[in-house]
Amino acid sequence: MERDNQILTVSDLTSRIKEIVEGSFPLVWIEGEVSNFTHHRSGHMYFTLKDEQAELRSVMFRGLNQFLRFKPEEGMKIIAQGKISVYQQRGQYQLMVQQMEPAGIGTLYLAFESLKKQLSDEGIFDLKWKKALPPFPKTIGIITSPSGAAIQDIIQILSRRAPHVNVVIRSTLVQGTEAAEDIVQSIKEFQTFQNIDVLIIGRGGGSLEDLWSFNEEKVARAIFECTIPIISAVGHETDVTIADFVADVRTPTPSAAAELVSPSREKIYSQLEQMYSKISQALLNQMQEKWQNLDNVTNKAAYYHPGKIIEDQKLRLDSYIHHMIQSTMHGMNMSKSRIMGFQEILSVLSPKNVLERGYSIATTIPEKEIIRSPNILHEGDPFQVLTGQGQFSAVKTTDKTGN
Amino acid sequence: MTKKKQQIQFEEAFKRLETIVAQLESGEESLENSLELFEEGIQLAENCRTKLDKAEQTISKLIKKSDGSISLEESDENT
Repeated sequence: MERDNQILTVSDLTSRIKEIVEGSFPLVWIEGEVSNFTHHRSGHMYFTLKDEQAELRSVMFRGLNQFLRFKPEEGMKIIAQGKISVYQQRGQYQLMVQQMEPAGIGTLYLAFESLKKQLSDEGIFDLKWKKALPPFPKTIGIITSPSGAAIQDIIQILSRRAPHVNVVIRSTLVQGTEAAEDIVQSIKEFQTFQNIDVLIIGRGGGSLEDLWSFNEEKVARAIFECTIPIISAVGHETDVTIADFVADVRTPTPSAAAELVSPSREKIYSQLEQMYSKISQALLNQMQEKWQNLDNVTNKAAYYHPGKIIEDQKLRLDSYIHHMIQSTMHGMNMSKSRIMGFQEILSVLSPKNVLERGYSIATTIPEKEIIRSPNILHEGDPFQVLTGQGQFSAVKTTDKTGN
Repeated sequence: MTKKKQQIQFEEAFKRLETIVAQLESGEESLENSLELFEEGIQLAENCRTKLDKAEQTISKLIKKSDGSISLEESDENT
């Protein structure tokens, strides 16, 4: 560069400075402390970013700052992204901010994204690793703070909904620097203890910093390696932590976890009732169908031939079933509707019902024994005939078999 | 260990009951089989029901003792 012979104008020099400076810093990320903050009437924000040794004038125009989710304040440490511009007329340079966030959270957020990507790439979040929740857990383990609202909600729901399920609580730190390690220990202890069918890891809502322990790598790995199915119920609906990605199931709140994990006792009772009804009804239908089939056969056959043999078999079968059902019902504690269901079956099978279907029963006089064979009577013997609508006397004539 | 055994029984009983319902409803069973299934089904349903009736919820705390062993301690209403 020509030094001594070149005399520049102020504009020239400034112009060159502008070129060089703006060209060198088209995009920067910078951390500093906010001071002299003004939120102008125009909507633009003007402030200075500084550290111990230097200062940087900054501006964030209205069009961009309207999207800020926080309020910059005097003394606040922030991370900003923007470009340097040189304002020739004043001979000043400034940072034109495009994005800004509080410093602490910014770092955390970057760490979150970074770990999330790393674990995701490892495949730890993959669906194939997720275990199904047991449909009828006997014991549920809970990892949470003993004093938070989460545990109260969970216990309340489990007591009401699934009083047949046991609960084991391992009191755990859920925020602070020691929380991550404690959570890992809780998971390991439950695993060692055994007899736990599913685990809920829960806590109430909070800031990114509050929930941070659920974003730590060791917690993610402990959840992944645990052989017990784990439900992650951390924070509010909109809070998402790495624990949520690794866990077998994520629920938006601890209460939702309690609902999900416990089978409703009421619902099971109702299902059992239904199944009782179904098998009774199915048996009933089958009986009636078989009866119908036999009836059809009987009607087609000649009166004196297979008809009587079939009737006999029917009566014997009915008697057998009758006894069987009665002995099954005996000694069982049953509800009224269930008893009525059985009674329906029994009445279909009872001799009385047989009569109502149009069959008659022959009995000896005076013993009233059911005549099951032609050989009981001699020619000329009187006997009684019972029908569904009354009885009458009859006398045996010759039987076809020629006895 | 007994707790786990009971749990398996409930789940198995329930599943077996569901199978029996399906079999009976299909109408494809012989009368003898149907009667047997019916009887089994009734027993299973009673079994399940009784287990539900009898089970009492316990709420306990998991603690690690100084010797490193892990055990349960009964908890009161308000943890």
